[in-house]
Amino acid sequence: MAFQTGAAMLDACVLAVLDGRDVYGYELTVYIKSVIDISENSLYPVLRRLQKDGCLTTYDQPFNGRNRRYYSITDDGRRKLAGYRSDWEDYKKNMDLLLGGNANNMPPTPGPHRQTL
Amino acid sequence: MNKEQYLQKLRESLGGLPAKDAAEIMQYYTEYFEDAGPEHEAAVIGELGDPAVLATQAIEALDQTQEIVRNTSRPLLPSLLGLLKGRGAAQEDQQSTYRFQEMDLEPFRSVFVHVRNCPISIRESADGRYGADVRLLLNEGETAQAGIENGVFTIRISGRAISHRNLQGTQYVKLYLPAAEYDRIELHSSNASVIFDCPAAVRGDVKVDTSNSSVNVSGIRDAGNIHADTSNGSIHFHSLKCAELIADTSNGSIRIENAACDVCSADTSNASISIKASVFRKCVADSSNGSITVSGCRFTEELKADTSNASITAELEGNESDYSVSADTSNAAIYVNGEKRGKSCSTGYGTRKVVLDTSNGRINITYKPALLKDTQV
Repeated sequence: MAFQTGAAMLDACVLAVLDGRDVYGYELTVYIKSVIDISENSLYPVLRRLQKDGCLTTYDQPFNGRNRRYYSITDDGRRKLAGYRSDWEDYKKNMDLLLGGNANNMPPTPGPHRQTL
Repeated sequence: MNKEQYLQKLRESLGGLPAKDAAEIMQYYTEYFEDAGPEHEAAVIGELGDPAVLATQAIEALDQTQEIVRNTSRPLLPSLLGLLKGRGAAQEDQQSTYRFQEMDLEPFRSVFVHVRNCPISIRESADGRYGADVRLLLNEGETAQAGIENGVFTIRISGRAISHRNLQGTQYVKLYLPAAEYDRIELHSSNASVIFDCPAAVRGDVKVDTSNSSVNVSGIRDAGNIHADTSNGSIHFHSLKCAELIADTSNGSIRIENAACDVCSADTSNASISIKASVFRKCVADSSNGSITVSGCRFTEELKADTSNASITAELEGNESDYSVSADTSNAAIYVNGEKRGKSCSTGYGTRKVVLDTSNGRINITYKPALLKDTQV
């Protein structure tokens, strides 16, 4: 894939998954990896960042005699996600404008600019 | 290398960290291995890569998050001007009111404002400093952003409102700019007026749009294009110099005074257009049901005015022979210097072209010597 998934994009993806339901680390990585090509070690920094930002909280739940840490989205996280979604719509629209089939949206060459009067 | 060895190496690589942070990272990856199960152990080790590198990444993540925490704990948001949450009376209001006032900002080269239902006013600052006074009311789901980044002063509301509350109070964006040179000015609002009054020079374009309210732009010493767009509101351009001057509205009048530009275009409906004491190469004025008046102007190429059910008045500098005039009305008469000329007339062979068109309205053409002594711009 020629296009990189940057930090903001990963933040948005993680928040969007958490918006659906609470998940644990491995489950989250497997799911996101099934959709986009990321390395297994790239999500810890994202979770850490979002947690420090107050966008998610964690809680432990017993599982097979040990604890499993679940990540849960907060109200701040939802607000952040709403912002990302709106930015994404704009970004998608703009990229479609440039890359989409109807690529010839360039305005015609402008007339004389700033003619001296 | 098996899971135990891998985690042992990771633990060693995290040696320098505070115990709490190291424990947290260890817990994450220990759990990760457990959830992956023994059948995926080798694959996970391969994917995670060198434990020393993984440790470095985790430590970098800690550094980053600590940086963010440090920034957000200050009243100013990171790389933002910092819209301070207001101290509203009600809890709800605290969530939704953003207030920022700072009268000594670092200089910036461009302005980008995108707000909703909020009047914008840009004025010349009295003391040559850059200042901002902003109050915004936000619905749930909307976020406000303000800051200076790469020389662009930005105020932007983003996000779609999840819930609309009946927000109490007024909103405004007020900026104070010194009469300096700028790269670009963009002001977008809705249902509220926009005023730009500052003797600034703008290398690029000035774009203003709103709706159901007026736009007032004045004082710009020099600019690329100046474009104002609204609806159900008037547009007033005063003392401007630019390449293209464009006014676009409906049900609102357009007034242009003391403008110097290459091309001037004014478009409205059901309201009048008046263009006075201006110089341009070409001018197009288009209305319907509204009168058009052009007076005291000097132009080199063409003047075109089009309306219906209303009169057109053109006061032209010089003599009849300087222009080639084509005027057309139906159900009314054309007067040249007070003299009746019928319903359709074309006179002169001059280089400056005048095309006037209406129906059910009178056309008055008068020639006056030297209306314009000097451009006031």
